[in-house]
Amino acid sequence: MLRIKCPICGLRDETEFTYGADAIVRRPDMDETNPQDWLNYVFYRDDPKGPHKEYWHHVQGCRQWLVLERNTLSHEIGACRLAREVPK
Amino acid sequence: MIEIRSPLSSSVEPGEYGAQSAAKAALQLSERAPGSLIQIAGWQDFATVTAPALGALGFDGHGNFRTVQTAGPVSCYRIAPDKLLLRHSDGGSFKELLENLNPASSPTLDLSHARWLIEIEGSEVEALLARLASLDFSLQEFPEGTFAQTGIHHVGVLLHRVSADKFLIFVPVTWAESIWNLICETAAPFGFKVIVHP
Ligand SMILES: [Zn+2]
Repeated sequence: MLRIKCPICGLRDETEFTYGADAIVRRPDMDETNPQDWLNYVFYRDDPKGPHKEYWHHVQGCRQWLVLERNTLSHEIGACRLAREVPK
Repeated sequence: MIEIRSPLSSSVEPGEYGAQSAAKAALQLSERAPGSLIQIAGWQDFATVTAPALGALGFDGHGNFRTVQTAGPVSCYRIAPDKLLLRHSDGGSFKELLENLNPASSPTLDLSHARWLIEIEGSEVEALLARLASLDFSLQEFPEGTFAQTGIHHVGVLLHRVSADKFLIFVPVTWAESIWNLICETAAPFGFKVIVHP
């Protein structure tokens, strides 16, 4: 069982959360004209082995979007912050 | 205003159920209408723009994400950084509150018809809840006058510890019957009594 420390609700079981998306991806500037950049942004994701940052939603709690550090190899959970407080 | 009807009207039958070895049922289950329930939401300036309205109700700020603030018949739950849930237990109006809020910066949502309350009381209340949600329900970790939002049967609920042996559970009306049935099933090994409030 993964346990995630929500900054609002405290330490909770993973079953209260839903995975959202890769939190590493950054949208290209709106005036970007290279189609490859947009293709990468919309469709391609890295599949890192080890530490990663992900968006999770505390859907059965405070309903906030979170940025969670998770190790894809060991499932170790690191820092968890409100997405709104993470610099873009 | 449309009359609020219980979503449990066909499920709640007063009586004693489950294990009956104990002289007194270890748990008492009942239901309650929430009274008036309103949610206030906002953006980054939430605290500033809602402070006067909350002050008029008798609240000093938003409090924290664990403690239930009360002012007379009104309870205030800080359910998210920019969201509050207010309950007027006797169904009183939030007219004054609404007059003090700017709908352009502090939108409100009347949830009086959207939630129902299930009340659980008794010596085995912690043991029962531990079988329903994965939280620590000991008095030390979940003291009197605190609340938590969690899932029961994958349904989002809010639990409020009213006293050492009594919890209020806010459930979505559409799931109230499923949750009630699950609670009754889970309470059977302890023995429980269903009571109807006058
Ligand atoms: Zn949370």
